[in-house]
Amino acid sequence: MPEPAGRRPDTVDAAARVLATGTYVSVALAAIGTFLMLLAGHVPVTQRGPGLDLARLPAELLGGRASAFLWVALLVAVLLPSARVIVAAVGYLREGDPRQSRVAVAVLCVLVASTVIALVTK
Amino acid sequence: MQMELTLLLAVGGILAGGFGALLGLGGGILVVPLLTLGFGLPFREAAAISLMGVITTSSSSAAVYLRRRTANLRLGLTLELFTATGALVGGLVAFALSERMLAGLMAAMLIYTAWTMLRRALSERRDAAGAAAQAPTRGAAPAADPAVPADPAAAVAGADPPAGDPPTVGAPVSPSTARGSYVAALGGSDYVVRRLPFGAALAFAAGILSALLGVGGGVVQVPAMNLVMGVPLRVSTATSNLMMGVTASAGALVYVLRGQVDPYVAGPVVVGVFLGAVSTSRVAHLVPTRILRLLFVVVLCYTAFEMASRALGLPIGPLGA
Repeated sequence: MPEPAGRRPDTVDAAARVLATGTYVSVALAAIGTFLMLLAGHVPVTQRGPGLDLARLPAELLGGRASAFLWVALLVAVLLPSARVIVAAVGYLREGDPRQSRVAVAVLCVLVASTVIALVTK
Repeated sequence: MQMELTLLLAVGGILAGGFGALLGLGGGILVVPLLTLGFGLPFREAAAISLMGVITTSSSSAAVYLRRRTANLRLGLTLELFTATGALVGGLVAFALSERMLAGLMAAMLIYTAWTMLRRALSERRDAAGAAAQAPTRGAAPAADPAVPADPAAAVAGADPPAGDPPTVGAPVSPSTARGSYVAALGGSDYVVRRLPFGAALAFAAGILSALLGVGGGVVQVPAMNLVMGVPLRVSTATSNLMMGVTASAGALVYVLRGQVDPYVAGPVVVGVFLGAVSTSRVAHLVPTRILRLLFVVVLCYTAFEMASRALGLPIGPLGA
């Protein structure tokens, strides 16, 4: 059932918290990455940034590379809506609404399918 | 050169995010022309970076709408199933279409957006004139809320939902008839969701549009929910904003994994769009948006002309030089 006006179910608040926190983390990382990019003398538009390499990302992040901060910021942003859907799936299950939880899981399946298809057809 | 380009990207993002928040548009409709016509980026790269901005602004505003209980999380999740599928299809189709075809579609989208903004500005003027004419006879009757858009099509991505109580649409939910029905459970305390299959089909179309053109898709989603499904405008706008994140991320994943995102461009733009949207939303009530909207219609029409020129392979103006 829809959220009653007087009651504040945890699911909606938890989803809101995930989105707010994730956005600030993502924007902060993007700002740090942009600052590091300026320090390193990289020129945007004319000089293309390195592609995403998940295996090297942790080491590059620790090494303070601009592109690593930027990629982590972008990955946090892209995965944030999925995190909100996971929170909703778990939350509705806890609230005793397995049907709504299944819908959230189905949305996640579409997002996973996006990833798989993009990788397969790369 | 390096500092100037970075600043230009960030300022462009701030303007796109700021104008988007002021005029009730998602940043995407502005970021794509900015990056393609202004910085000469290929359309697909611009769309990918624009989707990053859309996700960021959608996530930050959706958090607020969820806390205020303006966005309907259940309805949003249900429709996201269709917008995300549409975005997956759109993301793949985008690689099959030529740059010129994408530019042509963007030009059509810009003209449609300009048209909805023009209608909104004109209806606001009519409402203001009507309120002024009736003022002496109304006595102490409250004036119409200028924040409530008369045209649902104009209340698009990134728009702050109109203030006040949501209008009651449809019959009140009867617990006896609603029990056990999934569709009934998607409604609110004073509205029921109607024609879900039709709404889902439109959500699918909004998803395709979002991934193809790097926009939020609210320009389709809000009227679909409000006019087709009977969801109040305020709830439709907020729920569309919530859904935009998942829709855009489904499309963005395809672009990221196919190496279409340049982090050096995306970083400054995302920071700029976020700062522009957040700072402008705090001063939006001080700005005469009707005049701004009319001026912006001109800007959108000019940008549409540039995009159409690119689509037709004609010599383009200073923006595309």
